Amino acid sequence: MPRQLRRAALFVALLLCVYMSPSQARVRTYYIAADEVLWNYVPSGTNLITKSPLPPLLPQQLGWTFHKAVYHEYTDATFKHLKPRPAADAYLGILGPVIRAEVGDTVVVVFRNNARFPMTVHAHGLFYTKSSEGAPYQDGIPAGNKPGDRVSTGKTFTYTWQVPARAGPGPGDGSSVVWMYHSHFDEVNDINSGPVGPIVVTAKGMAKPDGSPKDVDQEIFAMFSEFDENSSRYYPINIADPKINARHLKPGAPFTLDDEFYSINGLSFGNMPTPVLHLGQRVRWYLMSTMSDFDFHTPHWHGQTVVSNGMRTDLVSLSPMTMVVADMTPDNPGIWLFHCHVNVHLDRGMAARYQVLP
Amino acid sequence: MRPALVFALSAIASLFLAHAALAQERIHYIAADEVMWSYAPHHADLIAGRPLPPLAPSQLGWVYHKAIYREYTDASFTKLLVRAAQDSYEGLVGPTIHAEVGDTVTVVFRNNTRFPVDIAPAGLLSRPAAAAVSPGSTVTYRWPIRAADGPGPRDGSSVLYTYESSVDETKDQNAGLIGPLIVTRSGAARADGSPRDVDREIIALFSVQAEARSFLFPRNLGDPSVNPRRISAKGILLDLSNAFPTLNGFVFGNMPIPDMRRGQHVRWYLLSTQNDLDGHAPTWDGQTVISQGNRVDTVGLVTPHQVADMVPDDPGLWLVVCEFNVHLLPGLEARYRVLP
Ligand SMILES: [Cu+2]
Ligand SMILES: [Cu+2]
Repeated sequence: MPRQLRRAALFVALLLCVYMSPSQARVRTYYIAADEVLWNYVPSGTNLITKSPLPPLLPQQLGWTFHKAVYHEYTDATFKHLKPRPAADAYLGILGPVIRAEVGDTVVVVFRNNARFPMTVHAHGLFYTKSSEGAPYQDGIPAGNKPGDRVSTGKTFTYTWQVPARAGPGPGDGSSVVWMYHSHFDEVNDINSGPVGPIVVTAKGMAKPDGSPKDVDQEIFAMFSEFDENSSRYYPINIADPKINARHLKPGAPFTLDDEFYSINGLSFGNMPTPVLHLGQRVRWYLMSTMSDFDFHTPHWHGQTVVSNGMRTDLVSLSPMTMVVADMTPDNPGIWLFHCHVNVHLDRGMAARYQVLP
Repeated sequence: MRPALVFALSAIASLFLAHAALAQERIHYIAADEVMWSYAPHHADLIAGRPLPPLAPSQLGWVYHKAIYREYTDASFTKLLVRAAQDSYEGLVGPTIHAEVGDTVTVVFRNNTRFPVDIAPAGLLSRPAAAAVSPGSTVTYRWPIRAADGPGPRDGSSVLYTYESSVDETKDQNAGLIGPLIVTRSGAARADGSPRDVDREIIALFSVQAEARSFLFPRNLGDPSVNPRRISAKGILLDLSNAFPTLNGFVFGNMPIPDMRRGQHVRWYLLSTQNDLDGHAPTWDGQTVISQGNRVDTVGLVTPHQVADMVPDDPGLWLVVCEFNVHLLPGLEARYRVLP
């Protein structure tokens, strides 16, 4: 090798070393707004699993579409341009953008509240000081010192979260773990209103530049959620809107279950776009649940098995607000069912499909 | 050759003797006592900083006659063993029994209630039986702690069981008769039986105390100091209106705040009663835990006991709550403090 070329090669190698160095901590900044949307749990208007009509509206059910608030990602602090979601990620549905970090990084979320109610961003698992907790309660700190606990309509607040080792994989985990972030101004009612998303933390040295784990080919996110529209902060608005409440129902008894939607990523009866997997690839599923009355779920895959917590299985169980990782290497091509095995949940549409290409 | 053999034999003998000497008999004097229990001794929601919610239609109040396990200094059962101030948050939960694998736990049990109850560990290999102890009687139980009762290959240095009254499990647990039994791996225990590699043990009982199913409910209905509104036994909402989703017998942040220090190895022992209203999802703000090898901040507590290890790194006053909203909204929330 000519000397010059050798020197150039060495330089490139050095550059690569610096660039790829796992110890290089990054600051990962996200521009996320809570935006108001009209959310339809069944956009196709049919049951796509059975190719049959949806069940008739229950006596106290307003409909299938509701005013909700969701987290959207923007390109910058002007909050003028939505960051488009790739078509392959359309199945993420109601989930906010995936926030990623490697252990050692810092996550900054510039949050704009475009919703009519005060909202926050509260992260699970990551390290935050009281000013970035995003959850008001009696914690000995005066409210004035915690601006992140209440972001009013039209206001912007910047949350800073550290990612120490305790936010990353434990001894029994793989190369990455999943956490959730959600609004926690009025926790239960906020989550039922919609603003919730996933955080992936990768072990130190195991991340690609975008933060995703090196030893995984594809990641799939699935949030099993009983959205209780009676507990949404938009309930009074939904009741009063004749487009939503076409039958002009009066507010129901406090315990009516008719406006509870058993959904995966906010979509029911197979209306979640079908994620496409490939034979032999390493696919990591991140499973999450929310915190309504009956948020105990048993996600079950037809067609393949997974390894979760060191055990081979085809079904995992979720308790309220739990986050579980399951690894799959698909070996069986086809379109397969992915659903909750709790009877009442399945009956009310907690089912989706995924596809394995040969 | 001969001295070598003698030496070897004596070495083996001394090992055996040392081992035999390590196995301890751990004696506890525990009574089932009737007490007046307040779920909210501060009469306020200390988490939100506001008054308690108004009484539910058929709710008697916030104070009930309950039966709990309490520890005494000796067999005379005249002097209560006072719980250390740093453990006052344990509230309704019975005294913690520690044992190392190989030990024998001896419980001298006095029934000071006016109902037949007993005390029995749930889940131990030897399945010690208990028979109803009549009011005023004292019975001695011996529970051998075998290797198979200790930590498994994926557990830490200690595992959790519960002890409870088994005469009528539903009525007895809703009266309040439950406590923790901690088994430490052989060789991993301090003199008191607690695991050496743990700096602070926290006991957290997640329980829906359904007063309408307690054996003391008739007494509560008939006592005007507990039931000033004279709610009658016929109300259909009686069952739910008098069910309290509690942490160690407290609601709405009324649990005394347990302290821990940054960098300590803190082990949370998560217990649950087994009512049909139970099934909990304990979650911590501010820190993460390791549970079954996984890094999480929420644990599904559908079994009666789980262990979660925490090394606090974020000082402050933080929430520990059940994420199941039908428990959280009616008050299953408390706080813990991490000192810098
Ligand atoms: Cu389900
Ligand atoms: Cu609970």
